[in-house]
Amino acid sequence: MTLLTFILLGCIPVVAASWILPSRWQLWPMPIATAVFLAYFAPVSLAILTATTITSYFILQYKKKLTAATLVVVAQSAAIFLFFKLGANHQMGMVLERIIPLGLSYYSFRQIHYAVEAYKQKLPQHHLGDYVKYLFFLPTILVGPIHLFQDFQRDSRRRRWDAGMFSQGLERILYGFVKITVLGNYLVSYHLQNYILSLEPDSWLATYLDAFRFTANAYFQFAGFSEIAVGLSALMGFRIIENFRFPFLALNMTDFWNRWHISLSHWCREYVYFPILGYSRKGNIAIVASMLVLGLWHEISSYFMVWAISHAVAINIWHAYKNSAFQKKLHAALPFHQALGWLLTMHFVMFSFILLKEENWADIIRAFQNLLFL
Amino acid sequence: MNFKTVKQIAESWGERNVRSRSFAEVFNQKYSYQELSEAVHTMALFFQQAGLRPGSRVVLSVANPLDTAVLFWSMLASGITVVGIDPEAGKARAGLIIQQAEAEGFIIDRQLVSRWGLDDYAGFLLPVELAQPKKGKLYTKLLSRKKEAAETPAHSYPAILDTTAAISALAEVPPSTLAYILFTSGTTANPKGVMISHRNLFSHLQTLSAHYKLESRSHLLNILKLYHADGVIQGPVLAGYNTCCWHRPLEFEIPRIPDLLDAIYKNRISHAVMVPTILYLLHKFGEDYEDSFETEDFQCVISVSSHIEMALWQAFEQKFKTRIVNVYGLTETVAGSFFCGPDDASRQVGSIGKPIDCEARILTDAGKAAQPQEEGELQLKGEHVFVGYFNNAAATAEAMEDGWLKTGDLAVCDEAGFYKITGRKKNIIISGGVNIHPEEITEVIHTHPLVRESACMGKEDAAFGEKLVACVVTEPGAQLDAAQLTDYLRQRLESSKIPGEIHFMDELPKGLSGKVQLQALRERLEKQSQADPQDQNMYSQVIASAAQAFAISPEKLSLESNSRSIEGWDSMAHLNFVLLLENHFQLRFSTADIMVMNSIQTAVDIVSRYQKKA
Repeated sequence: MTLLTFILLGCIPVVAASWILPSRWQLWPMPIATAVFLAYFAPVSLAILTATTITSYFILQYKKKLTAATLVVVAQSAAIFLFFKLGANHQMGMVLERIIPLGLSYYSFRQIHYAVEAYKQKLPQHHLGDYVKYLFFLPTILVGPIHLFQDFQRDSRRRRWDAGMFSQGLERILYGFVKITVLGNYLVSYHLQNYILSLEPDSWLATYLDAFRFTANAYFQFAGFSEIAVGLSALMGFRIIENFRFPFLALNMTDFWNRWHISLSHWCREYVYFPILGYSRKGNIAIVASMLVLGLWHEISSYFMVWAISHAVAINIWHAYKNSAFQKKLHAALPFHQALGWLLTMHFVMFSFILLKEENWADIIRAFQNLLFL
Repeated sequence: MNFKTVKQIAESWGERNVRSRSFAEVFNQKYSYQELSEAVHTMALFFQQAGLRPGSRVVLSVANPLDTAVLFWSMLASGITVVGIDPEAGKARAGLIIQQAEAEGFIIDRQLVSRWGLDDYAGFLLPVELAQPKKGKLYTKLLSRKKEAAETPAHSYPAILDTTAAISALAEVPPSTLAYILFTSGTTANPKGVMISHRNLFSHLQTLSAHYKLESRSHLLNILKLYHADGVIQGPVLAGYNTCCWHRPLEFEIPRIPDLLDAIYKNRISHAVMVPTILYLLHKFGEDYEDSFETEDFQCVISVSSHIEMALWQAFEQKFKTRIVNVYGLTETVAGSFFCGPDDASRQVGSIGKPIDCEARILTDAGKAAQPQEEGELQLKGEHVFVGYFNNAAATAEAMEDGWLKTGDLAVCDEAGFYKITGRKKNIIISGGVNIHPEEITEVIHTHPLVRESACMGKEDAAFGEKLVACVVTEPGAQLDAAQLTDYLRQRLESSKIPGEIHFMDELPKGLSGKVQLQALRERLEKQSQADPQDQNMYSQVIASAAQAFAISPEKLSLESNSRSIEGWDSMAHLNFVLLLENHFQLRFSTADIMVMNSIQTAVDIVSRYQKKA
């Protein structure tokens, strides 16, 4: 049984309880279920989440200086995140969990979001219980999205039984499963993979299709899980942020990042781009920094670093090109400039994924040689 | 006009398809139509046994909104005339009303009994106990009801609901019976009791229901004070008439604006009755809640009690993407008379719309019917127009002429039949929906031993429509400040009648007759507080910078425009906007400011803050 199946099964009684119990108790079964789930599958993660939830809340609640308190909470979450991302736990002999603690990438970024929003004085009135319910929300623990505290708090207040929304939630879960199993696992990872294997290895077509396969599978898996998270949340009356909005219809790179992993790109814009912009007044540098955080959030490696920089460069080029005289001339000369923009964007995204797909730099170079007939 | 009688309405609450529905949801407490029906039938027998008869005038003054609503309906259903007194009213005002109304009984909060000196009152007196904190069902089961009942005196409300039997059938109440008497302003002298009959009330409820398109599925939000007609009539009474649900989720305060806006979706609100002051605050503090009214159930915001500024009206509708129905009426016309919207036929933003189910005319000073666009006094006639002022034939004769009610408001009517209020004939200030007679406040200020003379008047105010301003001259050498005077007034006036500004002056401008010249006083104050023209320039420059940065026409921008509503507001355009503002105003924003600058309003606020610092 996969973790996802456990989450789904665990959510059934929790969803039922969230409508049956007296209103003041309705949202408590969820954090309890989350704690039980983590205690079973990732006790270290449970310990970290519990400790950081309490410390971050009380540091910001009983602060003397808001800036210092915010920095402490951000530093705490970032340090724990980096500690595990850099594999320091292995070096120090902590082998309690082989990989990064379950959900850490998401809840540490949620805590940073919470701290910065407190700094901006944009948090609504709330108590520790509200913060616990926000962080211990099982549907978004595994694969996000990095939903926002204000939205969550608002939905907690105004949620009501809505048969239409419940039915949409069920639909979204079904769509998510179809994306993961039928489209991702069966069509792309099985059939397309077999077809690619039947082609001559290292041929242009095999390399091209393999890049497509990887990109499509990444989308179906990730978007599928996100859709299930959105659906599960809807069953409880929560509308959480959509993580994907037809990313393969994007016409340029800015558009792409407004459609792909939306919650993370929003997080990076709010908490990396704007602070660096405020400090440096240099938009290009702020974009590079944001994309680096976005890339290294996935994995701290040279592959993700180059991938992130390549996207930052592409976004900067788009900003320089946008509204330029060159763009106007090109638009006048090319009647199908939108289709061209789409084609370029999709191929850039697809080829950049080669950086993440291959095992090592030699394979990456060989793949690009194949694609470019070198 | 065909309207339902109180007996028909109250009997309908016991019907199978109605009784399980909620009559009211007040502070998370639900109260069903079955409970209301039982309470009304029980109270009917109780009133009968107490010797009260249709037309008996009984004072109702209860702080708990749900108790107020249930008791109001109970009294209506038995034909008892409700004499409403705000429990916040000071002892002096309450005493005056009780005396003027010739009250034959009291249903009032327990603590008011002593405060109003009624401990030895021998007539009908039903004290209302403070609502007990609600316990869970488990708690109720574990602790017997007997024990709970023993804690509250038997002869009190709501204990009598458990100890009294219910009447089998309610009697018909003649339409001419007085439904209620509400007293207009007056703390030291002459409050006028507006008498509303059952015919007035129920014919107007029919008008309101039809015009707002209320039905049993509707959910009516009304958090206004229940001792004003717009609170009680357009709240629980209107809901009961339509067997729909009245919602009062909270008492209004600024930090709870998000809760109020969220209640609209949560409770499937279809109609929200509000005053312009609340609309102003929702507009000002409703950032990130712009979608609150965009629900499948919501139909319209109903603005009552006072004039709504055109700018607020348009900005509110634009921000929240909903429609405001502007209602014009007086306590003397139950609640409304003119309705601007919700239908297109009666809607013209900035006007009070058209008269519904009544006649209207405008008479010039010469007593002739005004031509289109000619100003004159607005007069009204209809089934909902009040009976008269209680025991005050002179005031009634002054207000009524051949069945026409003189509103005291100046108005014009255009060629299409839309009416617009242009001024006021009588000296009255409407601040946040509350009618204030400035003389009343002046009289109370004069009772302060350190005050030599004073004058009160209204001043235009974005939040309250009008703000009460007091100008005070103290005795020579007296040490009196605004805080001390406010404290003094607080003990003698309702909170809504405390002046928003108090100005101390050496003398008040007077004419030859020695009367204070209000116009001269107003001009003197205006000079003191003339708006800085720099503010307007700053706003224009912020708009110009935004237009340039986001490549959008300045006409499409307003204070409400934000990063979500402006398509071109992306990360790089944000930087351009910041740099343009910094260059123009020669300042440097902090990182925190850049992070929160996500709307034109916040940009204006931040620039303004820097300029003030400089």
